[in-house]
Amino acid sequence: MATFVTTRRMGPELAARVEASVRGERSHAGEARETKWRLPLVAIARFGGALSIVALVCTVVVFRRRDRRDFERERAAFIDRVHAASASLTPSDDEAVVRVESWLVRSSGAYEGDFLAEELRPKGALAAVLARPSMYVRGSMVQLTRKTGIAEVAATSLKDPFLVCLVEAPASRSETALLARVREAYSNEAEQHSTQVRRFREAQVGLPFLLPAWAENVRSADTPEKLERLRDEFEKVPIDAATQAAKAGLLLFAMDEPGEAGGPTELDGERAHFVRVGLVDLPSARVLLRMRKRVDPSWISAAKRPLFASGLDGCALAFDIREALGR
Amino acid sequence: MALTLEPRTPAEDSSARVPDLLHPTPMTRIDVDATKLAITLAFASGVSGGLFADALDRAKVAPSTWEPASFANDLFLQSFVSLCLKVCVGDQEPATLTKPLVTLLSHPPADPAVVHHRRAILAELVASPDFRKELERLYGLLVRFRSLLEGATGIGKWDANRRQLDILMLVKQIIDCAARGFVRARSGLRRLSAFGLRIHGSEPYRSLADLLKYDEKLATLDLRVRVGADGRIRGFEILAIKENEENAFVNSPVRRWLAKIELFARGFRFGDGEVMARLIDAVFEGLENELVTFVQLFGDLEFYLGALGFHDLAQAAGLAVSLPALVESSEPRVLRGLFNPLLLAHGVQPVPCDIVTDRHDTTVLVTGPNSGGKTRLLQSLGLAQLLAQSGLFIPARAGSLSLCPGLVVSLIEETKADQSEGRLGTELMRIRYLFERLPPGAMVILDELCSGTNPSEGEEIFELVVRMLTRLKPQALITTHFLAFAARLEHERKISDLRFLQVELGPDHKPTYQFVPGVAQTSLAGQAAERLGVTGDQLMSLIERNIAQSQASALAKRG
Repeated sequence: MATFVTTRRMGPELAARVEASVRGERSHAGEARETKWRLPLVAIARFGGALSIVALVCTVVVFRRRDRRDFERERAAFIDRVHAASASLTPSDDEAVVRVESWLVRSSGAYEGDFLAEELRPKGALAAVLARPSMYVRGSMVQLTRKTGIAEVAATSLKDPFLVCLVEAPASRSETALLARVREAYSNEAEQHSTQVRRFREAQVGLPFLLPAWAENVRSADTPEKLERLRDEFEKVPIDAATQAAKAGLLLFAMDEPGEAGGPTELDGERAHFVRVGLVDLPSARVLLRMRKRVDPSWISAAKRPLFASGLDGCALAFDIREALGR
Repeated sequence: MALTLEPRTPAEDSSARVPDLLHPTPMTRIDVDATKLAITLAFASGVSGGLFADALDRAKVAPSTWEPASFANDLFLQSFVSLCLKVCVGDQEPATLTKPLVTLLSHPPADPAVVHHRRAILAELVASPDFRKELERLYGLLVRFRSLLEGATGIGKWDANRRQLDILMLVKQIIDCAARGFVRARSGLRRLSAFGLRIHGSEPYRSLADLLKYDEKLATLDLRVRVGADGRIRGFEILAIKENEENAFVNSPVRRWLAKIELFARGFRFGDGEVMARLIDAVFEGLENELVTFVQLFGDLEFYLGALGFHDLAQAAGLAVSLPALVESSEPRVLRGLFNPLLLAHGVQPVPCDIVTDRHDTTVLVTGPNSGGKTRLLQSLGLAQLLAQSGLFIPARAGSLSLCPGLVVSLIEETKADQSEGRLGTELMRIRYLFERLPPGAMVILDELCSGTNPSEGEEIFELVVRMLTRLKPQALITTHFLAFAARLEHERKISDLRFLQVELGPDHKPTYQFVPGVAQTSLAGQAAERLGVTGDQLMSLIERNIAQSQASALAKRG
């Protein structure tokens, strides 16, 4: 059996002894007996170890490739899902939030005076316009002057008695009639009365997930963990509501000017103040309605005022606007 | 010096296999298998547990009719070997292995040819300082070989390969020294040359030489050194690399790498050291059988160098040792300038004396005063006989001795805690013991026979012993203080073959430590008593001093 330890110049006897030593039959002197058995065991252990390592590496590589394929498949599916969700959005829709913010900032500035577009003047025109898909937001005018404030306002702006009463006017301005509508607004029925209206918050929260940038974000996710995190975020987003909001043609907003000094403040924070109400046709960037009205909870009975002052004021404001426009 | 292989005779071939210096017919006396295993283990691990001592302690000796128990203790053989047979190599005095030398000396060979063989070697070593120098050099190399092999010095603990290469280098030097140093020897020393030359021409030796060259020189680099203006070296340039391709161990760089990988795959470590270890192993295996003989050779060299050390020791004290003429027992015993080596070893300058008797096979009664040197004479005669029988120098300037089949010495009579007999009983047992073991023609040395009982009864037993001894024709030497009895025996001559020696007294009646024919007139006990302070006046003064001290002590207590 040849070995690389021997050379061609070695005599046959020396070469035989070297080969015997290499085979472990004749190892370092006295270790001979022990080595005869030990060396093959060490060699087997080493080969076994090496094979185990190779097998381990191969297994890891195979699993990693499989995981990678699974991951890419999942990511592609996710991207498809994102694309499907945003497929109906136009580039114009993508900028809905920016446009709304622009209108809100603009409307929170110096009041430009009441305005009513011609198309709202006919009787019943308001109800027809309000039947179109729209976005709604209400909040403190002071906060709406800046972008961060708008986000805060949007987060707390729900479908409130003003919206419900504007979309579906109460039968009369009596406290009882208004209160009935207010209770509907505070219950789950508010959504039923205003399915065509989406909160601005829904567009604000959901639209970023429907933009090409977010799809790119998903595409660049390189680990299952990142993809999982993005998917979790996406699952929490009200995609349908956001899509509907982004595609809304109308913006309805109510801005509460600062409360008047000296008057009492009710337990729910309501006090006498002016409210700016606006209705904007977003595609044509036209103001359809601009109105400034004073609300004052003092007319509300003492029994209802602690709990419903704000709601009743909002509902009364909506009633008054509809009355002003001839319902 | 170039070595040439000359055609050898079958006898030389036998000698070349085993460099046995102690016997005319070479023999392997150590346990080859056990020693080989021990060397192999020691070479591998560097820890042997004294393989040389173990192997030589268990080594066989030539057939001998002598019983060590009959003389070794009484002649202080152990002390003699350790104090007188010292080996000196230059200014070094390596520790010798005493036990194997004691064993060798206490078993003198029965075959006179062995004695003559050893005497021839010693004679040649004394006659040729060059051979002695070579033998000392060979022994020095063997001592270093032993130290490295047994790990006594701890050299090379960090690098096993380095240590093993150092051992192999010494092996080569030992073989070279044996081969070159004794080519012109005429005695048994020539065996060393035959042994060395045989290995020299063998494949294992060539492999050994190649391996050592390989270790020393794998390749040669031609370098050009660039020196800056400030005289400092700025750079090197390799002009040429030349591998020592003629060497059987030199492999190409690629094969060297493949060898390392191969060894790793086979279960060894990865590295150049492991490749070298395999090569060392292969070379060592080829030489293993020869190395076993190194151990026996080591013991043989200590035997001869110890004898030369004894020669030097005596010479330094102004004394002389010699190889005596070996004669028949009927011829005269002559010992000129005989001295006691044990006295010399203990730093006492011995006084040499001449001992002459007309034949060996007689009973010599030695008489003389106490401390006259009788016992020392018996020791010297016993040691001289022992050394002559072993083929070594005797402690005498010249002499002639007859070889004998045994030696019984009784010089020491110690009182033992477990002895069941009194002094007379012990003495009788000593006599019984003597006759139980004494072969015809043996040498008998007895000190103060029958001194342990009353003179009249003791003399009867003495006469009985002497009468019986004559039937065995021994070389008997007996000391006694029964002076009147000895004088009567000399006068009556009723017992044949009795000879008488007495301690010579000087003009001042003090012993001269010389011995002359005849029976002493006095034991000079009075002189000895006076010398040791045992006279009436001195004893009385001691008594008076003790009484005075006792009275003074009593007065002091009362006061």
